Amino acid sequence: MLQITNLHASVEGTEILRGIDLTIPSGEVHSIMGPNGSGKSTLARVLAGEDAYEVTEGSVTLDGEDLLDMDPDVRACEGLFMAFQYPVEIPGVSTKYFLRAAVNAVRAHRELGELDAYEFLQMVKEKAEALGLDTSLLDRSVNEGFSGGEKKRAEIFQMAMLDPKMCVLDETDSGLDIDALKVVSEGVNALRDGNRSFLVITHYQRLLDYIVPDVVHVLLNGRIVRTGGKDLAKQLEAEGYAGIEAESNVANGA
Amino acid sequence: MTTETMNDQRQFESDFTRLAEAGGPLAELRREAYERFVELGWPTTRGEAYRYTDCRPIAEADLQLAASAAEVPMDVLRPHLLDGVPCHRLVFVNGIFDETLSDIGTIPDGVTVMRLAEAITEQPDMVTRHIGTTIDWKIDAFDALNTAFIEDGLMMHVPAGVHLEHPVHVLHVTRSGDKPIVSHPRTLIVVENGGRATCVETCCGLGDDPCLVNPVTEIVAGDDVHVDHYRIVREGEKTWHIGGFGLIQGNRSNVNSCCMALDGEIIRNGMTGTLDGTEGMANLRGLAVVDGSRHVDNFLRVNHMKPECDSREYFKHILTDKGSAAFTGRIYVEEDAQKTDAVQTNMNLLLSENAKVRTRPQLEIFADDVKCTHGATIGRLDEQAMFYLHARGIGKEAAKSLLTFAFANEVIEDIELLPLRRMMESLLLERLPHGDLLRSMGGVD
Repeated sequence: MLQITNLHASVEGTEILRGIDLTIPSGEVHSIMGPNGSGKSTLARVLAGEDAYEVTEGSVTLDGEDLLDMDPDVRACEGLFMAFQYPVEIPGVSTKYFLRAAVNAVRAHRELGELDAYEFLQMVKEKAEALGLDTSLLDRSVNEGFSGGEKKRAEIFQMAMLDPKMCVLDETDSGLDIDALKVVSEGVNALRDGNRSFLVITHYQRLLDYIVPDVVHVLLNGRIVRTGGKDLAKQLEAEGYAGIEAESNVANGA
Repeated sequence: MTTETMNDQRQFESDFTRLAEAGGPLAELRREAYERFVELGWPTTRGEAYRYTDCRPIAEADLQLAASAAEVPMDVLRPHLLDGVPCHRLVFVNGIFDETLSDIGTIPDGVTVMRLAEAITEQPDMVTRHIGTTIDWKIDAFDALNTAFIEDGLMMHVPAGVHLEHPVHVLHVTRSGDKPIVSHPRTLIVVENGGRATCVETCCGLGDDPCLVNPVTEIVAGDDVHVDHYRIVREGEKTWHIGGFGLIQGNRSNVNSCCMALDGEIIRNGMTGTLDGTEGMANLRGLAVVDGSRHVDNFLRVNHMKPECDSREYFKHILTDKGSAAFTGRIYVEEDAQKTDAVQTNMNLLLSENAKVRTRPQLEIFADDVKCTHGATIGRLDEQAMFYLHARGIGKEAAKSLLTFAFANEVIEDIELLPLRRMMESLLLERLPHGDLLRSMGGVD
């Protein structure tokens, strides 16, 4: 599914990612944990294709296709979805219009027929029910005035509507209270279908109580320094990142 | 340009003399206004009011009133009509009433919706009492010129407590020809205490020869009145549209006016709103798509004369190609007008390197307990929003179009008259770069 090889990326000349190797097979949920400044969000943005991040070395493929060579909208159409840490507010565009434009753009690319207004609303209803989300947000402008929880729920709803094969969740838990966290996690779990893959980026272990990962990676200073099962997250929670940091410094000869 | 041309306002002399011979209750007003126009001369960019709108081409054109009606088929008019809502419709072609295209329909008892020409004869007291009271034609040459040539247009009178159910739609069609035509349509809307009315004006052009459309609309609103007024400007390619709008409102009245400027070589929208009762609300809005080498000038003055009134000015310009736009917003607060709450916003979206915009807020405040805020922005599309849309599969052109639509849509999204809002949305989509793409994606119905 997603294969990242020796990925180096920098922002304004400063190298943030220093050689990441990561393979996420179809249907698996991987988590990346790391302290602030380790490069977690940079990885998400590089995958989504944000301009400000320059890839200086390495490759990323999605189902064998060169992801880095695609424009961000093509990546989305090819099945990559990033749930934003800070979803952008777009006043003046109703969420419903926005979603229909997005769904139809993606469907056109995948050579599926475009949905008319009725079919679209049917799909909205169906997905909302499956995720246990209410649709009242759809009539408001995209993310405008949404609470933190509403924004994240809207992201998960978009994820469901766009039917991606690879989902990247960039600190989806930040700013959520426990109830919102549960709703969002249940939404994500409902989308785990054995084929779809997930990369869950988080600072805290808490989210992983609800979205249980198959594999946990620890990111430090732009490199993956440890990979393990879901228990690794618990260990980090108990010991903090400091222990691993020291280990990794030793390993790097620092 | 020569000084001689600029000072020669006698080009209208023969037209005016012919009109003056007809006499009538407005003869004196017209004569005064004509004399004032001759004194003022055509505005120049040296003055404050027309600093950003060069009127030389207008001054130099050999403008004439249309001698006879030009024929316009109904099919041409149809796209300008509101779908699915009955309207009292008056159509003027080159300033001359067109009976065939008009459909005034049944007017409720006591309400007046008629040609101004008829009202001048049938209700002279009503007309003379209100006409010219909301604008200062003594300082604006185009308002003076319109007043000098008041002949026809729309008269609406809604008596106290009456809610006029259906909107009045007045269409001013300009069919340009070999000779530059000028028209000075006048609209007078008087709504008495507790009345309610909606008026839509469409100024549309056929043909690409130069002409001047110089409409003036006045709204006189009593106490507890609600009036919605809209003007859509879709003139011919070479038309100069210099529009005037005056509003005076009483206690607790709520008046909305929104001008959508789309087509014409020069479009000027001069608005004066006077809050002359307490607790009134004047909500003035404008939206312009300024492409080609078009020029749009929104020139506003809001007078807060009495305490506890609110005013809102919300004007947006979308500029592409070599378009240019200007916004001037003066808020005047009288000494007595305590607790005034005035908000002025002018936002400009620049989509090309060659487009130009100038914006000037002007506050004149003589009361000490007031809230007056103004904000002007000139910017490009938000990069983060662009990326967000891309990340959802929406391509570059469609994303641009969607964000531009969103920017514009904020001006019109609260319009209650649904068929009009739909029409404005659809006009907007037609005019935005790649708006067709947006429509085909179903992003906007």
